[in-house]
Amino acid sequence: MLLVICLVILSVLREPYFCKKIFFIRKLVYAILCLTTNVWTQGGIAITGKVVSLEDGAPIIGASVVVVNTTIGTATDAEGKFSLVFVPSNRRTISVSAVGYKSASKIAGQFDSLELLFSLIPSVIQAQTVVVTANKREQSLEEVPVSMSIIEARAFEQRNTIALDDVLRYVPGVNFQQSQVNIRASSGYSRGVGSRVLLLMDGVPLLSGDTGEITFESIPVFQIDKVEVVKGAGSALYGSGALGGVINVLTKEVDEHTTVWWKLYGGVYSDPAYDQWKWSNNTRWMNGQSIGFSTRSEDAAVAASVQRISDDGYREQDWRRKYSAFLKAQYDLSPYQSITVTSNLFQQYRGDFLWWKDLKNALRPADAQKNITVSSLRFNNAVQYKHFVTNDFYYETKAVHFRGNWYRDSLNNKRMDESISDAVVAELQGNLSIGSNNIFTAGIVGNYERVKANIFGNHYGNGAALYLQNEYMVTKGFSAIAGLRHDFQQVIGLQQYQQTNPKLGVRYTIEEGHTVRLSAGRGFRAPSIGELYTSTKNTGSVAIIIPSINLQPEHSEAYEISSSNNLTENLRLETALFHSDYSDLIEPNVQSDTAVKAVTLNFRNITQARIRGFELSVLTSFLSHSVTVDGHYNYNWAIDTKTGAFLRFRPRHIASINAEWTKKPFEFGADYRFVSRIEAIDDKLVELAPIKNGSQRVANHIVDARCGLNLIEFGIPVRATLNINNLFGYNYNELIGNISPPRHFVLSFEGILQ
Amino acid sequence: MRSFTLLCSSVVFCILILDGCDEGLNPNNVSEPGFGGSITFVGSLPPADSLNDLRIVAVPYYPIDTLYQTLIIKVIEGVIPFSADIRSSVDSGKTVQYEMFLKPKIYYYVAIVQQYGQDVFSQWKVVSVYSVSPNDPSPKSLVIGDGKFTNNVNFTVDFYHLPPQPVRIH
Repeated sequence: MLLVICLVILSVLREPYFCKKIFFIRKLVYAILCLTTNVWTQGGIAITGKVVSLEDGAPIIGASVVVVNTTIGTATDAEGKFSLVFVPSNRRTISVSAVGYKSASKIAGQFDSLELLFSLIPSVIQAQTVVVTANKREQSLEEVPVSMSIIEARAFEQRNTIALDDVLRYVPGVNFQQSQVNIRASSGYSRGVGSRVLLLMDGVPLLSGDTGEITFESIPVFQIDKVEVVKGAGSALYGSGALGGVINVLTKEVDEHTTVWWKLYGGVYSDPAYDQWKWSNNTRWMNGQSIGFSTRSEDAAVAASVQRISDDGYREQDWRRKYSAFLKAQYDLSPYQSITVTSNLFQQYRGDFLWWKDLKNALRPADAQKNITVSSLRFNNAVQYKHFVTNDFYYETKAVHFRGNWYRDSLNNKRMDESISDAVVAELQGNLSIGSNNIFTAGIVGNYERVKANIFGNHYGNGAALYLQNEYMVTKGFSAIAGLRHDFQQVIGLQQYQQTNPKLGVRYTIEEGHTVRLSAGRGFRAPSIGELYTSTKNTGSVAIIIPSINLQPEHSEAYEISSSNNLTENLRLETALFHSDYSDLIEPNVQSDTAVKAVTLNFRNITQARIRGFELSVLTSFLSHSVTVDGHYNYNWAIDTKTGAFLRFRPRHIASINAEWTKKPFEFGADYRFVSRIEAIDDKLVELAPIKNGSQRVANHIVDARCGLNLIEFGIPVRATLNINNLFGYNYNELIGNISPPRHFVLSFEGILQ
Repeated sequence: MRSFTLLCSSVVFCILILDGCDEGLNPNNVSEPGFGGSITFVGSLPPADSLNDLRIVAVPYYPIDTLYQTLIIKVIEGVIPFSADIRSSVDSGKTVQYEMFLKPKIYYYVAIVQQYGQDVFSQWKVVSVYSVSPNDPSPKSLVIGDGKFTNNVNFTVDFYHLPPQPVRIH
């Protein structure tokens, strides 16, 4: 349906009659939006060119080509070629970046039409990668004063990633308690309520209005260009939720060619490792289909896609069916102004598997959870307007609406829990450069939440924030940054919160490829409506959950020293030492309630914590970059400062190794991931639920392998990949009472038509 | 140099892969600490409206000289572990097997308790105690070692011949 709508819109835009109408509307919008701006004329130059590898002259496909300080940009085609039209005569710096290569930029000459050749130098190092999350503006990764990790789209393609969290597990310092993300041990397991990591999509937050949780499965993986992970407190720019870090999902830009892409995959789970675990005589299958297209006219671009996923599940009552649709439409009002509209729809129907019956029946749910299903419908719509007013000043406005609707039903269609929530966030941000060494970033943000639920009640919340940040380049290699954000948050009828969160950072590049960073920042998270008001007896345990309306915000103070060093052309070492203090962490708590005469569970500010640790990453390449090997290690010392005990649900050691070997047309890869045994769990949860054998847990050793055949080399735009995940069939659990997937095979085919 | 580095990386990778070849979770090797045995129900059964809950509890201290309300709070706080409700197993003359998993510790008083009224904070009574012998109702300590499961912790329940009550009932 979306595809049809997009095609209709595009065809309408191309009709001469409508072009006149649209031109009129554009002028009208223009007059409203751009009273103080330069008037756009259809002047400018056309720039074409080609991007190749310096090593062998081969064309680089999908390289990003942008005109600096404008909204003009494109991607290279299958021959490495690109073209940019109506490039303003006063903005001629062309920047090119591609995965696996050092970025390059050139200033175009003063001719009417130009052809440029970019020969990029191969590199395993991401230092030149352009990032946007650390300081809310585009800058080189080498310039940011905090630790960041980047996941490029290629990683999703290689691993046949279905959900975003599948790839995040390989980011240094990141681990999961099933679907709950944890950056540098900031989070434990909060039963799906509240997140100490803020998820953004194209810079706008995507936390649900009711529980404040991240639903990774709703992210359209097939539209991801890259994911940026900022570690440490980020509330000085992003406000509530950015206590432990920020994950920003950046969707793909639309290139200039009309493109249709498709993907099909099918897979099968291995039989359980032990006969006791066998619960079905049927083979457990999974499959998925997706198709998308993108096209661009002179000043409009549209990308849309739909996806269907079906998974029988390797556990009883763990099946799921998912449908999603994505639309991104961009309209360039001028070379300096653009409006982007993004819509994402996700619908899921699945069985509810909370924890196992016991270890001898590890693939069967506990009896109390039998025959329960969960349905959810989530969608988000975002509008972004960006305007480069001058070479030194631009501003952008964003607004996003996130709707979440989910409900749990028992077999006889009895409605158990239900929630409908809306979250709206609007932001105006400006970036001003004064001279060549002073950049100011300022903004104002407003948010509104509405929840209607039998489990949470009907509640409203709102908030506002102001922030200001200054980056000062003392010399080319030395810069300092200072920022401050003031937040106001409230849930109607409860106490108001006001928070001021500062941040400081210093970056010193000793010489190219050798950088040291220092940073300090404060974070906070206001309790979600779910934590404040959850009230249900449908817990699958003897306890009932009761409201906790006196909760206060959580706080953190984070400090970090990090460095990155290119030891040789093909060897890079990245290190980070971090220290964070957390106060008033919100944790589930069991208590007696004489009024209801029952065991009750609610949320309380009970934990003071200190987390220290370090990260070490080594990135290498061999054999003319045909082999790359990355290794990561993260150590966490996470202590409850009141009791001296190790924090619950945190691993002490996390390590991973990723290896890739490309010998065209073949690609081979393997990943190994290690997470040490969780030292402390929630004993009360195990006892009260009860989760039989709930304390049974082991260290995680997971090996994934894959091989791919890329037929593009032979003129056939198809790529086939075989993934074998959990190659050795290791039986492990990330979360108590939940065994992780056994060995499974997935064969996928994907292609592009231009 | 490149070959050497490649070789070293391959070796490290293989070592780590082999390290991942232990079996992980194994249903045949459940080492969760706990105890188990049999429960034999003798004599007449109580009316259904006075059998509102029936559980095994393991108290890590003794003597118990307090009110049930205090004990219930300790149960809620996780100090006193308890089993799932076993009312569905109750049948006169019937013997059932049970298992209970809990933290490794010395439990000085292990018993089966019955909630006989609607008040969950006070209306409880002990209906069987893990004792020194059938003739000696003195409570017997139960030592649960780390990774150990103790068998033959057997109970006999007679709802109308109760063992000595350790708790003041108000």
